[in-house]
Amino acid sequence: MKFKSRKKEQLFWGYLFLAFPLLLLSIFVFFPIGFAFVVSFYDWNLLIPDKPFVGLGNYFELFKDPVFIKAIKNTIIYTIGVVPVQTLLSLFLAFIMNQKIRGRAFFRTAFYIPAITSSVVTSIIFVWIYSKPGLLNYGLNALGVDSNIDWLTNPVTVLPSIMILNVWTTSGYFMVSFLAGLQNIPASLYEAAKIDGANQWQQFWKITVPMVRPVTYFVVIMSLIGCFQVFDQIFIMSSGGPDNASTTMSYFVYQNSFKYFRFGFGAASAAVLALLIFATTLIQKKYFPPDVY
Amino acid sequence: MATIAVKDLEKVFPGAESATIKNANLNIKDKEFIVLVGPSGCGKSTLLRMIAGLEEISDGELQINGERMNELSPKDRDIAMVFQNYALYPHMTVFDNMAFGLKLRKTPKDEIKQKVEHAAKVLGITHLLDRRPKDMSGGQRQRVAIGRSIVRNPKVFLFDEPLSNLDAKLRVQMRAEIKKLHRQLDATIVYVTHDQIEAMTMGDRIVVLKDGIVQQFDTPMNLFNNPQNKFVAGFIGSPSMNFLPGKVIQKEEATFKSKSLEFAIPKDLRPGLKPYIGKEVFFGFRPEYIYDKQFEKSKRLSENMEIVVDSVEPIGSETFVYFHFIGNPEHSFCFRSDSQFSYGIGSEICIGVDIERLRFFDKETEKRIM
Ligand SMILES: Nc1ncnc2c1ncn2[C@@H]1O[C@H](COP(=O)(O)OP(=O)(O)O)[C@@H](O)[C@H]1O
Ligand SMILES: [Mg+2]
Repeated sequence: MKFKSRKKEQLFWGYLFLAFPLLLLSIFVFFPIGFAFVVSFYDWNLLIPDKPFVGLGNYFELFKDPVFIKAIKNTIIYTIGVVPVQTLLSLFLAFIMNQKIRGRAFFRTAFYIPAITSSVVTSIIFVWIYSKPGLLNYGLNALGVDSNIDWLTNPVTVLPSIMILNVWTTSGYFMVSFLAGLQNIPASLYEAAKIDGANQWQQFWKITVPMVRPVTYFVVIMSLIGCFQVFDQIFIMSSGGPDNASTTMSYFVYQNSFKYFRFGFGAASAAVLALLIFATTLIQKKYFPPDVY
Repeated sequence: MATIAVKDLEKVFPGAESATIKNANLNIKDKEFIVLVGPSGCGKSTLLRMIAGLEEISDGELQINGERMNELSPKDRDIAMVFQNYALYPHMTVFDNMAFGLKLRKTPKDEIKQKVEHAAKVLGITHLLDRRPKDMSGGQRQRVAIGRSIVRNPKVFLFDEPLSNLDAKLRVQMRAEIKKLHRQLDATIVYVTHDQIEAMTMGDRIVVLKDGIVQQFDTPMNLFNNPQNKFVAGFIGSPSMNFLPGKVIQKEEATFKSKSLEFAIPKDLRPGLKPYIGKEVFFGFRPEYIYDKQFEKSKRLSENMEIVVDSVEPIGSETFVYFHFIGNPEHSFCFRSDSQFSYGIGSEICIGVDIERLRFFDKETEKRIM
C-alpha cells in the first residue's frame, strides 16, 4: 500500500517538474514548428492581408526556383566538405592533446577559444583575413604565391573560404567531445597494441578510431546538423553572394521569409531543409550505428 | 630460446621521492617459469613492464638472450604479455584479437588463419572465434588473452596477475592449464602474482619482492625451508610463520627468553646464535611444525611450551588452532593440528616445535640467523 502511494507521489512530482519546461518548449518550439508547417501550405505574405490556401503550390514553386536548387547544391557541397574534415581534424587534435606533450593546457585552450567566441566576432575577423588587402593574401604573397583576389566576393572561392572558417571555429568544440571519449579508452589497450607491434599511426587507426565510435557518431550528427543549418557566417560574410554562390538553404529561408516577407514560401523551404536533416540522420543511424562496446 | 638477465635495474618514476625498483639483479634461464611475488604496490608490475618495454628503464641493463634491450620498443623484444584486465580489443572478434599482432607483422592470411585456429584449439576456444569480448565470461576472456599472446610464438611470455579476476575454482584450473601450456610452448615465462600459493605452485623459481627490493630469488622449497629473512619467512607459507620477539641469554646453556616463553636452544643451533647472546631476536616457527607433546613421541621436539587455545578453525583435513603462550595473551599464534584431535577453547596444552625447524632472525636487520 505504502509503496504504491509513494510511487504515485513520485510520478506527480516528476510530471510537475516536467510541466514547466514542457510548457515553454510547446510555446516556443513545438507550436512554431507545427505552425510553420501549416503556413507552408498558404500563400502567406506579411504585406498582403489575403492569405489563400495553395496546397503544395509553394513546394512546386520551390523546385522550379533555380536559386533554391542552387541553395540545396551549396548546402550539400558545404556539408560534404566540412563534416569529414571537421570530424577527422577534431579527432586528430584530440588524439594529440591526449598525449603527454609539453604545453598541453595551452594548446587545448587555444583550440577551444574559437568555439566559445561569438560567431559574429570570428566571422568579422575572417572578413578581414579574406579581404583583398587581408592577412591571407599577405601571407600568400610572403610565401611567394601571387595572390590578389578578394576571397569573399569571388564566386569560386567564397564557399570554400566560409567552409574553412567553419572547420576552424567548431573543431575545437568537437575536440573536447573526442577528448572525453579518448580518456575513456583504457591505457592497457594501447599497451597491448604496442606489444602486438602497432606503431603510433596504427594505434590511432586500429584502436582510437574504432573505440571512439560512439563519440564520432555524436560529432558527425551535430556537425551535419550544424552544416545544414549554416547561417550566421553566410549572413555576415557574404550575404549569400556573389550571385547566390554562397546561398545556403537556411539563408534562402531567411531571405524569403524576412527580406521578401513570403512566409509561406519560406516555411516550405524550411520544411524541405528539416526533411533533409531528418533523412540524413536516419540514414546515418541505420548504416553507421554508434556501436558501444 | 630465451634467457633474461636483469642487471642492477632501477626504476624511478618522474617526480617520485624514491626508486620503485631498487638495484634488481636476476638471471633467468631458458624455458624457466619465474614468478614475481610480493605484496600489492611492491613494484612487481613495474619490473614486469620494464621487461616488456612499456616502462622506461631508469638505470641498469636488461638483456634478453644476452642482447641489451633497454632502448628497444616492445615490438622488437619478441615478447608477449597477458594483462590483468585482459586488455582485449572490444571492437574486434576473438579471431581478430588473436590475429592482430600477426596482421601487423604482415603474416600471410592463410598462415594467420592456421595459427589462430591452432591456438584456439589448444585453449579450447574454437567455438568463440566469432564472438566479441563483451559476450564472453571472465574465464573465456582470459583464454583469449592467452591465445593472443601465444599465436606469435614469442620467446618470452609476461603475465601480470592474469588470474586475479577469476573465481577461486577457475583460478585453480587455469593455474594448471598455464603450467601445462608452459611445457607445450617451451618458452620462458615471467609471471606476476600477489598470491604466494599461486607462486609456490607455479614457479620453477620465485622472486620475492618487497618495497622494490628483491628479497630472495630461489626455488619454492628453498624459500619455504630456508628463507633468508623474516619477510620471506612470513610471506611464504599459509598460515604464516609465527614470530615471537625475545632475547638470547646465557644460562647454563644458551636460552631463548621472551615474556612468556623460555627454552634452551638446542645444541646444533648454539654455535650460530653465540654472537647474539644478550641481543634481541625473533623466534620463528611454522604452524606445520608444531606438535602436541601428548601425541607426538617420535620427533625430536623442543622443550615444553605451555599454551592456551584461543580458537579453532577446522578445515576438514586438519584444524588450525590459534593460541597464546600462558602469561602472554597479546601475541597470538597458529598451529596446524591433525583434525582427529579436538581442542576446547581455553584448554591448556603442552606443545613442542620440531628442532630441525626452529628459526631465528636478527631483530634489527631481520636477516635469518639460523
Ligand atoms: N606511472 C607511475 N607513476 C608513478 N608511480 C607509479 C607509477 N606506476 C606505479 N607507480 C608506483 O610504483 C609502485 C609499484 O607499483 P606496481 O609496480 O604497480 O606494484 P604492484 O604491481 O606490485 O602492485 C607503487 O607505489 C605505485 O604507486
Ligand atoms: Mg600490479
